[in-house]
Amino acid sequence: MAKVLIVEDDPLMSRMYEKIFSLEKFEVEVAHDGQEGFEKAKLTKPTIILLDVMMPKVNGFQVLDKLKMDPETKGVPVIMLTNLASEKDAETAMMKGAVKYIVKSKYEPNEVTKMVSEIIAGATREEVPAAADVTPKAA
Amino acid sequence: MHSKLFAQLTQLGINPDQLPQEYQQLVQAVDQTYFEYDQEKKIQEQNIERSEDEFFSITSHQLHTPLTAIRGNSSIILTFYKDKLLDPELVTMLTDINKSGVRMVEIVNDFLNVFQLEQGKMNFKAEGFDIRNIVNQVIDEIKPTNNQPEIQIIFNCPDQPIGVQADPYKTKEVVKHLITNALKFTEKGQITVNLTQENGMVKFSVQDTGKGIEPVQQSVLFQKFQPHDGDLLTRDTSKGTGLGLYISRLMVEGMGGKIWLEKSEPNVGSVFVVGLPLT
Repeated sequence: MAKVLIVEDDPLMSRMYEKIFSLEKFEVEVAHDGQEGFEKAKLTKPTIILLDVMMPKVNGFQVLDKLKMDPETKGVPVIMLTNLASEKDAETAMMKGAVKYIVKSKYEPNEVTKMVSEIIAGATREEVPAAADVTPKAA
Repeated sequence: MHSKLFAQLTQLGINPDQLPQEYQQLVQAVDQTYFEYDQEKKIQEQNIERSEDEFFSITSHQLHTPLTAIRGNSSIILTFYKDKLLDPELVTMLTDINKSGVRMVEIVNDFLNVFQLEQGKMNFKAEGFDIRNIVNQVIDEIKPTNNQPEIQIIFNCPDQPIGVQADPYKTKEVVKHLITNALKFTEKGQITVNLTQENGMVKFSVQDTGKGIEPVQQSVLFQKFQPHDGDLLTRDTSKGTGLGLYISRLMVEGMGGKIWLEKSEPNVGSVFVVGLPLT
C-alpha cells in the first residue's frame, strides 16, 4: 500500500486530504508544520509527499530543500500542493526538485489522488534506482 | 553632507566650513535629519511596493483555502457517501454547493487576473514553444469536465511543430478560455480548433456551432463585463463573470499578439481567432 505524507498547516485542508487519501486506500501520515513534515518524512518513509507552500516557521520550499539534501529523503517524489497560483513559485518548485505543482482550488480531491497515483506508478516504472535510495536499509 | 542641504547653503552664499562652532553643530543636526528622512522615505516606498505584491498572494491564499474546502468536501460526500443521502434533494443541494464552490474559484481568479493586468503587475515571458502541445493539453484537461459529451472537440493538429514566441502559461489560459467559452455557448454540434501560419503570425482559431453573437454586441465583446447575451438585468450570470474575453485580450496583447472575432452568425456559430508571433 502506498504511503502518502501530507504536510499541511491548515486543518481544513489537512482533514480533507487525509479523508480522501484514506478513502482511496492510501496509508496516510499528516504533519502540521514544515519541521514536523521533515521529521516524519525521515521517520515514516513515505512513498510520496504532498507539501504545502505557505506554512509558519519553515515554509514548503525550505522543507523541499532539506528533503532533497538529505540522502534518506532525496528520492521521495514531492508534490507541492498550494493555493498560490504563482508561475514563479511553480518554477521554483520544479527547479528545487518537486515533481508537480498543484493548485488545490483547481481540482476536486479525487482528481488529486488520481494524479498522485499516476506519479507513483510512473516513479515505480522509470525511477527504480532512485526509489531504491529511499528503501529502509536492513539493520 | 546631504546634497539638498549643501545646495541650500550654497544658494545663501554660506560656506559650511567657515561657520562658527555653534552653527556647525546646528548644520550637522539638520544634515542628520535629512539623511534620516531619506532613509524613512525609502523604507516606506519599499513597504508600499511589497504590500501590493503580497496582496495578490495573500488574497489568493485566503480566498482559495475555504473555497477548496467547500468544493472538496462536497465532492467527497457526493462521490463516497451517496448511499447515505437518502433524500434525493440532498444530492441536488450538495451538487449546488459543489458547483458554487467551483464558480467562486473562477470568479476570484478572474478578479485577481484583471487587477494584475490593469495594474501592469503581470509579467509576460517571451519563450519559443510548440503551441500544438498547449492545445492538446487543454483539450485533455477539458474533456473529463465537459458536461456535454455529445459535443465533440475536433483539433486539426498539423503534423509539423508550430513554434510561437509568447508566454506558455498565458497562452494556455487564453486557449482554455476560448474552448470552454465555445462549449458554454454551444448546445449542439461541434467545436473545431485550427492552427495555421499566416503573415509571420500563428493563427489559433476556435469555431463553434453555437447561438452566435448579435451584431450590436460584437463591437464590445472584448471589453470588461461583456457577456454577449443582453444587458445588465437580463444577462445570464451563470455563464461566468463576463471578464474572460477581456482578460484574454489583455493577455494576448501583453504577448504582442491580437485576438478578434472572425465571424459570427446568430444560430450558426462563431469563430474566434488569436494571432501570436512566430518563433
